[in-house]
Amino acid sequence: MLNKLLKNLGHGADWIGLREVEESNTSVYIRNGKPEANNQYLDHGIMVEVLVDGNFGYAATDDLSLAGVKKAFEKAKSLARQFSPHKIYSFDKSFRPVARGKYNTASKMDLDKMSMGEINDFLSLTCDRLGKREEIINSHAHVMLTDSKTRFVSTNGSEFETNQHIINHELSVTAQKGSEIQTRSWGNASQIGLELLNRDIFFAQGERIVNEVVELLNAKECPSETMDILVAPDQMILQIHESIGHPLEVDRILGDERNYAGWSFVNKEDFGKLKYGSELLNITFDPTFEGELASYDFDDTGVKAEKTYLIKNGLLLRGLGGIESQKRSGIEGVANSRASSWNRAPIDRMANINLDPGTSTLKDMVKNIKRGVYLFTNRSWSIDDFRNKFQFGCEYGKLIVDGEIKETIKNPNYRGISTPFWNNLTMVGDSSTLEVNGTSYCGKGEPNQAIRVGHASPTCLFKDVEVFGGA
Amino acid sequence: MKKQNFENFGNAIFSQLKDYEELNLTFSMEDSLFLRFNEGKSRQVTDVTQGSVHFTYQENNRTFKYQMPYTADVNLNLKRAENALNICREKTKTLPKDSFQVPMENLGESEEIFKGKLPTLEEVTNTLFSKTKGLDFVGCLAMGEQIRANMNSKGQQHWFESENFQIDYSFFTAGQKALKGLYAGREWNSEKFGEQLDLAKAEIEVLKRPEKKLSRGKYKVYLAPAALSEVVDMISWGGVSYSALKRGHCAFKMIHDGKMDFSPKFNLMEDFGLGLTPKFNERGELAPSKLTLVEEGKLENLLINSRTAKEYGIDSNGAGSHEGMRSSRVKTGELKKDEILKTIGNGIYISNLHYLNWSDVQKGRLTGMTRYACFWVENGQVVAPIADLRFDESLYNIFGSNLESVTEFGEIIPHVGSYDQRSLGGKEVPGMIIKDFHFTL
Ligand SMILES: [Zn+2]
Repeated sequence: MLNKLLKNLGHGADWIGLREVEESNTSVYIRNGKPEANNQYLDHGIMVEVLVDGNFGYAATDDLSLAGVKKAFEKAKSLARQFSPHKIYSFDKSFRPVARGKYNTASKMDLDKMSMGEINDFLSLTCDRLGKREEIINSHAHVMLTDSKTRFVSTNGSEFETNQHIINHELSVTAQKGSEIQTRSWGNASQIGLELLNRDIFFAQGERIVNEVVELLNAKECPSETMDILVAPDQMILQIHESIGHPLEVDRILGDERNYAGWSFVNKEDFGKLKYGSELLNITFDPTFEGELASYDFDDTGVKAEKTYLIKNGLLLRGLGGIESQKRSGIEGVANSRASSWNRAPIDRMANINLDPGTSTLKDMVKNIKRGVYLFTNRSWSIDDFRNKFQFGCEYGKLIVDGEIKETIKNPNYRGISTPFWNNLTMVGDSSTLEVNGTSYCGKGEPNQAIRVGHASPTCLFKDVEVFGGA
Repeated sequence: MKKQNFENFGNAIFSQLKDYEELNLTFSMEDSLFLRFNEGKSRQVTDVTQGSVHFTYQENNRTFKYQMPYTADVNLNLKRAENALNICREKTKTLPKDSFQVPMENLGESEEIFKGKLPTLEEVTNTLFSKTKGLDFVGCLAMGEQIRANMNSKGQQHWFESENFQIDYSFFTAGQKALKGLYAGREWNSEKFGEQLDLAKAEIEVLKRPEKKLSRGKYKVYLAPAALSEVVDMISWGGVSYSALKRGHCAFKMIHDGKMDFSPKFNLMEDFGLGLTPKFNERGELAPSKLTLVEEGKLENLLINSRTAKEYGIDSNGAGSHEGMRSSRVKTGELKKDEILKTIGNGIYISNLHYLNWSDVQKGRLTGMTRYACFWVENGQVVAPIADLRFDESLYNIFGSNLESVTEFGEIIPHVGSYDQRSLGGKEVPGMIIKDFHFTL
């Protein structure tokens, strides 16, 4: 259908691309054992992209008829032409290479193999176990199944498809004792099929977070002092995301995002020179990691996606810049020009940004800590617009004293500055500590775009970090 | 035409319902242009025509929600809607009962249409690119028509239509300092926008002075309306929600429980008189034109939607599904504009804040960064721009005993967000002088 539309659009552009996105999101949300929401949302539209006078113009429409797409085509051409005299860079056809192929999530069980009622039953049973303790004032179990299809064709012969099966899931419990209220949760987002909804795993994770939230009600406040932190993968996800992923986005470095998401402390001259972190820091852009949330074959400009090192042995090598940013900046990049849906133009995004496992066992890392905290599960995140001064909060902590894990502590927070912090990375967990996490809600861009990103990381040890507790 | 199509669409679907079925339809449509610019040049230009219709289907105490595209093609819409109704019926059969379902009613009709005078592309180009030539000017123009509408099978019907534009921008100096601005409205005026840009060009001069690095600690600050707006957004995230209170995620819990107070100078309300957003929510329920949330430092109301009301056996006040503020207003005070610097004395003038989050939501404590044009003020004079600072401070200090004065003027700050679609709504906020504001990094 897309090729037929393309053939019948007419003329007046040096290049035309059509990107059709069709997405279905099915969401089941059980709260305190009762249905809170049962939804199915469908979205379907086409982005018409044209190159006219060295300028790309975009027009998105949900009217998929030839007349509707033609109308969008005319708009895109006129916008490209209108703003061409003021364009920031003169583009040509080489910015849209030929891409052909088909990507499918490697899932074992299709997303439609359970009825909505069956998913309700599964989550209700899980949720029933979450609410068992009298301290629990609220609990929920939620899954969202996403079936996302992108088809792309262009006048220079591109024709590719990206078919992703995605599940977001979360269990959460909130408990109260007197004026003390604490929350503990477990969740993730990944490319997977319904095989994820495994009763044993969900029940076991549910039991764990219930026990932990009750521990937190009776726990001591996290101490305020400078000490070591041992960071679990479900907090590493935010640490990598905010203080490595975003500052390496080349459109930020070029200033495109300065009015919204922000700029970056990283300069063009830093690539190949900046010691971003300690020798132990190895970061990849890896869209080939099976099951990780942002895996794909081609980005939305048709560039082939491959695993690439961004930081090797602590040295900054490469930026997160798509084909347009690479030429504009002269910085080597990756295939990360992505749009959140059919109604947005592609911009530089993270995909899977992963931290390579090291050689330390968890036991070794704990043994090396004189005084520190073990941090689990992000609950608060904030960083400045240049991506220097961050502050993170976690749901759950454990005090570590003289090489031993001690009591549970509540409200652990820490703050720091990106490169000094990464240079204090002193031990990196081996692959037995590795977890693959993802989030569907990384926001940036004007107009705003929320996109899916993945971050695989082992447990990591950082020295001399400013740690503090709640009010 | 669009309104007629929407009525026809609704009636065609409603006529197919059985007695025991109820259906609520919420429409969202936009025809928007987005022009991104950087370094005073065009970076990316996108036109978006999109619509969606959201079904809430209820039968025999079961609830199912469905959403599909709503396009310019009337016949395609109807065909899709018939399919949608079948899906609603099929899926709902397998669902458990919904204990907190609220029966649908006819809560009346309303219509608000705000036609605008939007600029032509030539007018935009002529002002935007000519006035900013040679300057490091970055941001985004968004403009066009936005429609929100609601119908239900009991005969209720609402329509809201607004044509508007927003130019959200910043000017940068060579030293990476910036001044943030917004030109927004319904009636485009090239001259007025030009004047605003000229003023900004003059104001940016002080940002070229060498930056002052302040050590962490407590400072007296002035939070300009745009900065305060960020704090109000945080309150809107669970702070004034009744369900968040019951479920343990409410930053106003301590004031609700009577353990903390705000200053009598702090007054917060929902005020739909601002005309920025429809009064009806996703279910077509109308909010009161004005609802006091905090009056003279005392918590008067939390936002309660009809589902929360049903669950906890209380009355709804027409809140939306998220129980956040849609059109908030912080009451002005007595501080005059020309007295701001003198009142700061020695301290920091904060134009904007960035990336706020809770550091301890139960205690109402939040963190965030200064951003854009923030200045060190000494003896009532602007001395230099500051290096950005991180704050960590409690709402009970900000709006409590540390709140010294509130400006006599407020500014209207429309929502400029555009995740999925351009948002509506906004707020009116004054500036505030706050002592002992705690910076931690
Ligand atoms: Zn992000």
